[in-house]
Amino acid sequence: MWGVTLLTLMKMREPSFYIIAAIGVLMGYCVSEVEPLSNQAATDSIISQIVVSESGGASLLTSSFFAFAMSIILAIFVGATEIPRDIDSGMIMIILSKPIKKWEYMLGKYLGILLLCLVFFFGVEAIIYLAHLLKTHEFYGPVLMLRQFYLVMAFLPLVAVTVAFSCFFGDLASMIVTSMYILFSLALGFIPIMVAVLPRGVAAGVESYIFILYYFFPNYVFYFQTFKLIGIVPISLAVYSVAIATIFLSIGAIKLQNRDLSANG
Amino acid sequence: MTEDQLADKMPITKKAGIISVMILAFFAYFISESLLRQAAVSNINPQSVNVEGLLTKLPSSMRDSVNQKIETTRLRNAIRDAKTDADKVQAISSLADFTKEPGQRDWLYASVLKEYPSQPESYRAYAAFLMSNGAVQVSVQDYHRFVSLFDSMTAYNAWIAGMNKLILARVSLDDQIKFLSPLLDETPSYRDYSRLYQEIAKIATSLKKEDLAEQADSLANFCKGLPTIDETVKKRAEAAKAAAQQKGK
Repeated sequence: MWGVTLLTLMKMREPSFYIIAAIGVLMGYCVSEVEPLSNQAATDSIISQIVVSESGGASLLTSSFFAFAMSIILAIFVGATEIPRDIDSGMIMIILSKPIKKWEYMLGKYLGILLLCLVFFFGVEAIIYLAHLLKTHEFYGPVLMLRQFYLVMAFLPLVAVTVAFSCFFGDLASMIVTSMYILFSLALGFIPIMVAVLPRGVAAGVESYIFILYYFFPNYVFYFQTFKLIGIVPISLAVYSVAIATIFLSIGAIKLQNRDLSANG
Repeated sequence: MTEDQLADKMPITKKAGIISVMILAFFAYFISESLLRQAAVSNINPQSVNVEGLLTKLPSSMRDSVNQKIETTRLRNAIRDAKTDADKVQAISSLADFTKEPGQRDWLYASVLKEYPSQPESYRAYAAFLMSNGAVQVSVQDYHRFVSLFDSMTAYNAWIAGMNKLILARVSLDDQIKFLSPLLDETPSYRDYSRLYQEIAKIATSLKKEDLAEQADSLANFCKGLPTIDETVKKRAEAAKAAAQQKGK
């Protein structure tokens, strides 16, 4: 399994990774001084209800949001293509001829892509903090800096989704389906907030149907809210991330187990 | 099925294992999601959100129906939350005027007449059925009986609502003057009543009833020297406030 992870991490040596890393560094430097999301959102907007908390807590920097968005793109590009390309090239048959199970292969791929995304995210975050230090001669507060790294939890379901879809489709179809699915997830994440701000009973009748649809998508909006670093929210967020990742990886494992993995299959 | 394919098939124990893991994961998912949702929603202050601003981003066809739904729900909630009969009647009347459901308006106003026949705020329900041809009817005599329950200040809105209803329903001028005629036997107390007397004068002139027109004109002129209802209410509130302050000292 670790061998597959290391094999996936070899992607970091490819020119395409250098290009996307360079874009990430440049963007990290440019957006380092953008105000936090909580200062940017209009006070009467839905977003402000998420990122502004009256009970205090550390908020997300807009620059971290950019770093996260870039990492999503990387996760989709790499995560959605790795397994289909291994199948197309016959590489998967070579790997599976070793004493490794299919689910271990998939888990190895998952960990590899996850580490790749984390390296990228940490790198861009480091550039953001350094750029802030260079421009203002001040460090961000430790609590604020730590809060940004809680976004790491969002990569667990995100990468699991991309890997799970890649077990079903070819590389291009997988990229498209994953992108659409993540976009839908981001949009549908606002459903609970919308229901809460509308007058009581407006959504009655359709509320249960909306929530059934909502449960089919991970809610990435939870990762953007302002919360205290120690408490029920971060613990729930960790459980939530692991649970979704497990569900998607299990689905992927079942599919991979039953799929014809030959190159012309 | 070849031997390889059979070997490749997932064994039942492995399948059961994955399904058990998934069940546990779903359990953890629903619990953690519920906690996170509650945390996210607890931060929300619905009053601070510009719902109208959000709705403007919707397509117009959808926006109208959502607006209608939101306003209807707000009015229904107001009925449910009403603590006094007055609040309840006002909330029901507002919903009756707003609703677009066929038959709903009449049903709501009929319920007001049935449950709150002597409530001052029920005037909109009385006016809705005044001289109507539907299942529920309010005659001019019934209306006069209702108005006579209240003092001049409270009755004013009922007179105005009744008059507007008859004008909108294009009731004959004779019936309109018949409806307003009890006002000619009263001595007005507020300037606001001049509007009603002017209307009587106008109708009477059209009907060539000079005596009535003259009487209505003179009462309208008399009204001009009187305080308005708003001024009186304001004065009473100030007097009550001063009395309360004096009592406090």
